[in-house]
Amino acid sequence: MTAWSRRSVLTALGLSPLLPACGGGGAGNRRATTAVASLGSTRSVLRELVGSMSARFPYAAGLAAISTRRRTMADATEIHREATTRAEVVFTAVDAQGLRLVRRTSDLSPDGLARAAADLVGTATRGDFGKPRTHAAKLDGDPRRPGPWTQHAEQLLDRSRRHGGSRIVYRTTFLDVDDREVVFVGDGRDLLQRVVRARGGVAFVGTAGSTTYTSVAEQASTAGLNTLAIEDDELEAAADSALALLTARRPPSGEFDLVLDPTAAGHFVGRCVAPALLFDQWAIGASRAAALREQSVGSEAVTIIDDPSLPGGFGSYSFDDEGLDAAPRTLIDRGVLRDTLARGRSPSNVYLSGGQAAGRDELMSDVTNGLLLEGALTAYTDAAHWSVGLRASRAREIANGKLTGRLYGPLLLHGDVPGLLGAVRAATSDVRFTAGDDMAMGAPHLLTRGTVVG
Amino acid sequence: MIDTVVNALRQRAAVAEYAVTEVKSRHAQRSAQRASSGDRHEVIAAVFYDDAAGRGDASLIVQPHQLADLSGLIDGAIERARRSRGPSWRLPSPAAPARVELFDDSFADDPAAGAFEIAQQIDKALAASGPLADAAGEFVRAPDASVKVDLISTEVRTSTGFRGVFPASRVLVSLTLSPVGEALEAGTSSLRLHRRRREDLAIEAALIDAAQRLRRRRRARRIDAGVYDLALPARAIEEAGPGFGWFEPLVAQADGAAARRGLARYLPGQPIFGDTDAGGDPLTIASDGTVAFAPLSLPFADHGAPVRRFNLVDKGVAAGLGLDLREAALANSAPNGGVRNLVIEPGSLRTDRAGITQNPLLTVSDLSHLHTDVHTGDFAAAVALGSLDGESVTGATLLGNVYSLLATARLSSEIAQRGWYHGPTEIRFASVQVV
Repeated sequence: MTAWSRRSVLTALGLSPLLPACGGGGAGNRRATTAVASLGSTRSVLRELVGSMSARFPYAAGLAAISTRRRTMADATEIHREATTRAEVVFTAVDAQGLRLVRRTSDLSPDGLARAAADLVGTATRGDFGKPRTHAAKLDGDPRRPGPWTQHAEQLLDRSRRHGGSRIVYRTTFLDVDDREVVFVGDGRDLLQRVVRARGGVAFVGTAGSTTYTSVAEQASTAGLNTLAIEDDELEAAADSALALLTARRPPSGEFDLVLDPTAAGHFVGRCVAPALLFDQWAIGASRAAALREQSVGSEAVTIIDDPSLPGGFGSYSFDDEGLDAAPRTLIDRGVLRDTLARGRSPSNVYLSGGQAAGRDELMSDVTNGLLLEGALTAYTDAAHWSVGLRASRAREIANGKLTGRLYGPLLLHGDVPGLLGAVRAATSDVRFTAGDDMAMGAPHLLTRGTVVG
Repeated sequence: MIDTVVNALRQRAAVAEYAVTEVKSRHAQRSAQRASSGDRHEVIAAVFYDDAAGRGDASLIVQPHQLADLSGLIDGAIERARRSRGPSWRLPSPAAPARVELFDDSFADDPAAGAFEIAQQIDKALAASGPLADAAGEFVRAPDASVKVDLISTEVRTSTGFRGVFPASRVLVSLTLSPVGEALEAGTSSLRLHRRRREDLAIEAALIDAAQRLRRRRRARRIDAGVYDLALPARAIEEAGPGFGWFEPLVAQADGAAARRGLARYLPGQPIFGDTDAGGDPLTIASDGTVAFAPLSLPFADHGAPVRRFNLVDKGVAAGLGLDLREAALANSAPNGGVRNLVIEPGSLRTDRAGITQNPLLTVSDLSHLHTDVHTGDFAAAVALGSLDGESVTGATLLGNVYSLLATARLSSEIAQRGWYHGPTEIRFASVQVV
């Protein structure tokens, strides 16, 4: 490996080795070379280094992220608390031929950063990134400060014991917080944001013979840890669901009117519709949806939006990895396929807009013989066919506009996406979100028609 | 850096025991529009705190720029360990690491050169008049082709005196083949390889296979609903992912912590098929993390736990659990480093013969999705490409239960090694529902 001295690297980059921002060795600069409590000092080093890169490349940027992951898990015999911090800087440059050059490093010391930048550039001048902008997180419950949330998992475990009785063989609570601070410098912008993604909940496990059934009550948000409150009726519903599955009947197969609860409809939107609208999938010919742009793929009741700027949304952020401001994007507008997700981006908060129905009962009143699908387990699409497979943990029978009380076990909804979107007749007005990996999937209760198999 | 962290932990009376891991890695990635490289250097320490209530533990991560604040990081970890709680246990005496080779010397010390050379191999194969065009029957492209080479050094030290260090290499190749000049709904085939050695990629053969699958995919008709016997070649088993694909429920049941909490479907000594009669070949599956250059092999796992081969299933009966140091201590057993590469004993199936029942035989080449419920074993799988009586088919969903399926499994007598999967070249199952 090339042996770098800090002085030689900074000189090669056209920077003075004594720059205060680079932690030049004086006592007053000590913090810059020690722990990264925040990215303040790193930000100024990035400005210098990306400025150097800007002279050489048409596009140059630096993205620094420090992420503290706090996880608590509690059950009857154990409590685990983890808090680990990782930091990384990614330098990106695009050369005159359009080749994107990327250099990552976990060494955030000024020397480490300079070495990484020097891998991409040899000469230097300065760049202009405008006035630094900071997007502060608005948090009700900050993981960096003590608060009610510190006892969240234990208190939730205590409350969960009141639900489900002895037939629930195992309960575990969790709190998972990703506290991420990100700096972007490049392309005329100098930005900082803090995103705190938090999810907390309780899992109830019931057992019948050799089979276990799990049901989870969960909240997820970027609005702060005190917003993760789970009400007692939600705990009761989750415990009841785990127990009800123990005696559920084998589901029927065939075509039915279907009311999807917000988890099922949300999974449908987030896992079946959105993945076929990835820019990159269209570009390589892997998505059937590409041939349907500006065509009808659903009923007038279907409008699907991806909105990373949604306040408190689990997938929200202020700017993306290329420093572009978060903004909503309408993917399907009243049934017409309008757009892909932004280039290189995956869904953030993707949701189906609410409709006119006052509630679930109003949707069911329009159903003579159908099923209410609840508790999505998984959903997928084969983008080449834009087909859908959605597994729900349970279904309730609807007859003549009302629930009959008959409960069925796990079943699969399958078909193709335009077919199911085209059959959407109505939706309730209240959109509820389910958390995925760094994203949220939202939908109201939805009335459609499709084929299920048990 | 590991010396500094170990010395600091040694001086803390509140730390009952510790295990420290230093990871240094460098990677390089090449694709058509991107050249990426990077380094990672960190120390991960597990800190154990004992009191009358039992043992608490916590982890801390130290990166190079954080060394000056090491004392504060350790204070934080001790406080979290003190506020955690669990049953009492102790780190065992050090055990000898497994002897296993994991580093491809051909990469020397230069991941960028390795990634570039493999990317060039792919570019050459993709040349307009090359063998891929012949295999696909048309000109093909792979605009998202990506090659990543990782070179990793791992060192572990514990308070019980364990010291171990090993180098490892890893190559990831990922690409989607599609026809040149068709951007919309063209049909694609994909290639995903995860290997430790360059030579195990067999990149040219893999690309030709992907091109042949693309050709078949472009001509495939939709599968009719019904009941079929199912044949899974080794490649389709390995690439079914995520994780262990079809075998994910079996691996989940072998988790020592799940078994201790009473959440496993069966325990060692019990049949894995439940009430279902096993009509297939005897099923014996081992975990082996000592296979040279296999992707999940290691000489030792977290905290220096020795990696050992053990049986998960022996002739249809659950045999062993994956045990890290903690679960082994709580089970009063020997640690084995958890479930690693799966080795499945061959059977007597002749793959040149017809299916195993009167049902038509559906051979699946590619899945676009596989979901298995690790608690119940229920699965749903979307077929991207298969063959039925020599005709290419696509677009259906397979439904069923992994345990019911495995009870009917017929295993070929020939074996293949593909990534984490070491077993029959083909496995056949009876009576799978297709919708």
